[in-house]
Amino acid sequence: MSPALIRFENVTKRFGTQVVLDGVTLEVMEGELLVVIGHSGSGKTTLLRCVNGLVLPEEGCVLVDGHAVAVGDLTALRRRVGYVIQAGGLFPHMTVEQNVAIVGRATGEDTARRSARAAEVLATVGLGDLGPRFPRELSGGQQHRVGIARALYADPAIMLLDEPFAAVDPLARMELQDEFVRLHRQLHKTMLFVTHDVDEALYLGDRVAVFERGRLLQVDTPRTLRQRPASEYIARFLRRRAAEGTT
Amino acid sequence: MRSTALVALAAMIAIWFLYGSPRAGAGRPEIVIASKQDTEGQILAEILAQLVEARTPYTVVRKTNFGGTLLVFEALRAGAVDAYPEYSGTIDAAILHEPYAFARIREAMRRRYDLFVSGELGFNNTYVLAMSAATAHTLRVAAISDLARHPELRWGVTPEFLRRSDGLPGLERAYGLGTVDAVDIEKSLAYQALARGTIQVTDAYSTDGELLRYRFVTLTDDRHFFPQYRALFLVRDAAMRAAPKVRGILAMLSGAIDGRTMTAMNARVDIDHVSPADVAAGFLMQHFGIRRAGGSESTTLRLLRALGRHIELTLVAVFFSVLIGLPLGILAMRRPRARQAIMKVVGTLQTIPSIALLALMIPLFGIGVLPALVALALYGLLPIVANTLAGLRQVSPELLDAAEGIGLSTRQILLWVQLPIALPFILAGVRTSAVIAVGTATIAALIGAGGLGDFILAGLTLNDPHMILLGAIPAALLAIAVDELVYRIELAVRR
Ligand SMILES: Nc1ncnc2c1ncn2[C@@H]1O[C@H](COP(=O)(O)OP(=O)(O)O)[C@@H](O)[C@H]1O
Ligand SMILES: [Mg+2]
Repeated sequence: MSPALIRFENVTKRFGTQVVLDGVTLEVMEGELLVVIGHSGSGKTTLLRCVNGLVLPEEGCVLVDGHAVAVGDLTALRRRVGYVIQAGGLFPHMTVEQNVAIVGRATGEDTARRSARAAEVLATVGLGDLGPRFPRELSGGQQHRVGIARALYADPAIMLLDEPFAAVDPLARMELQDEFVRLHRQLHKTMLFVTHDVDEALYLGDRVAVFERGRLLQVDTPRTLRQRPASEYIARFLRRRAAEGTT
Repeated sequence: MRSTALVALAAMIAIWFLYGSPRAGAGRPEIVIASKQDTEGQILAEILAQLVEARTPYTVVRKTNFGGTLLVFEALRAGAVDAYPEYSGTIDAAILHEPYAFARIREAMRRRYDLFVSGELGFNNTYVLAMSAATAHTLRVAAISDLARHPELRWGVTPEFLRRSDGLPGLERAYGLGTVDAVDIEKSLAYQALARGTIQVTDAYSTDGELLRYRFVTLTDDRHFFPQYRALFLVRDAAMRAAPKVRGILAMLSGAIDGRTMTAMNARVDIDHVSPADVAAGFLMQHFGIRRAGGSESTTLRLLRALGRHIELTLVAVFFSVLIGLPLGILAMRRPRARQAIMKVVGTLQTIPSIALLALMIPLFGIGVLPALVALALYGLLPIVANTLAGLRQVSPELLDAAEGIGLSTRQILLWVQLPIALPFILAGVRTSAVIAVGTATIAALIGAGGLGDFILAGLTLNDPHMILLGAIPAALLAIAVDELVYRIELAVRR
């Protein structure tokens, strides 16, 4: 197997007295798409935010490409790690191109270079000609693709995605998921993908990590999870959510 | 529509540059001649100003709307004003606290304040008692002591005169009048009542132009009870050294204006609504054969200057409000603990009445444009700080999370995300602040800052609605223009 690009070693995070991550140990392999699933409030987002240092754990440590995530140079780390959040998090006062190229602007690239690179990543997500538009002129699905394009801009080895498709209607979501699978195959990036949608998790993930109240219950391929759930709880969780379909 | 806004802005800036801050003629000494807001003071200041203009090469700057003795005296001491007309009695009572003797006043003012006291101009504007000519004639009353024979007369006096020890109570004692039959009454009403015969005696100032209108007679103060309010000019010694010809000018005026002449001039302004400048010109023509120098400004030019100064005050004040308010708003957003203190301070500033805030600036910054700018800038702070804070706080947490997660520095988040999104809010604050500044700047004339307030205040003093409107209408239009201008910028930013 290829080496781990992200490693959580016995990570514990508390907010006040509440334990949000409870001794989590987990590895994400190079080029792997690992999906994290769990109920709302189970700590998925917090886990993700440990990777780019938006959250710093009290115990244990998080290693990205062999280096511990620490208070030091988080900005540089974040520029090397793509980050996509639920609503897309697009800046409403900037054009699509400006949104996509913002990391380039932050690192001082010249405008010609930014504009060329933005066109490139926008083409990758199938939005070649939308650069001059403003986010509010785009459909929900298009906005999500812009969010992904922005994360791809600096060609990061790692991408973090926090329920990127949660707010889209089911049809558009399926389309986005298909495209995302294609994108992952094409770019072969290491991805940590958070969702609370079981179908999405089983469909997308190379492996799926199941969380409950800050604890990692099981991490396995979708097939293994279905066939050999580690507990009755997991079996029920997968069955029920899958039966309910997307919500 | 955008171009209309640009034209308005260009016009404002052009007027500011052309007329805003007067720049003194190269190397020529500049004399700042001031007065309080009263008619007589303005006429006297004009006389001096025009005489200096006619007979010396100096440039004259007029500041004739000071709110009171202490304001203009402080300005004189601070060097913001070079000369203004004053009364010996006021110098005794309000400034030196010593009894009157001309030589002593002159000596004391030089020693204590480095001020030169001009020779007396020739009239005494003190309290007098006035009666209708008919009553006085019938009762054979010519002097105050004659009133002792007529306890039946009804007196109507100003509230101030009724109570002051150098008013009625002292007078009764000095002349053995007993307790006269007196009621208190507003000055303007007193004259009407006297004319109609409802009252028979009232107090007045000896050079009040209204006395001529009603043809009242004034009674001789035969026991010299009332203090002397002899008119003269106070001049800074330093100004006299820089502009030595002023000494000769003051000598020309010494003893040149008697009580009758002054009363007539006051009447021309108060009753006939002739401008103090024209009345002064008439006096100089008659007494010295001086034709008004061509340099005397037309009303249009003066109005443009006032407008220019007003725009200058407004724009510069708003600029500083933004310069201070924006960082304060940002600080308030970032530091919840500092927030309360900041909002409290800028909120309190706004609750201070503008006239009081202006007055508070005087001990710190003196008189003129600087203290006015400081007061205006402070006064305009609240809308900018509050709107900056509100604008920054309504940036959604998701956006901030995205910005941080993408790897923007705190500074970049502020400059690229928070401020641009808050910009329409901030501009709305600037708009409010600018409109406040235009309004408050009209009051700044009280501390010698100039602007359209000069016209409004002069109009109020001279009871001249035309002049009030001459200042008020451009001020209102300016407020509307500024409001519209910033609003257009706001719209352009929102798109
Ligand atoms: N900044 C924070 N301060 C306090 N509590 C937080 C914070 N972030 C998350 N939590 C709490 O931690 C728990 C896990 O949150 P989160 O990681 O967002 O879960 P999930 O993404 O799985 O829904 C929740 O109970 C949430 O209220
Ligand atoms: Mg979450």
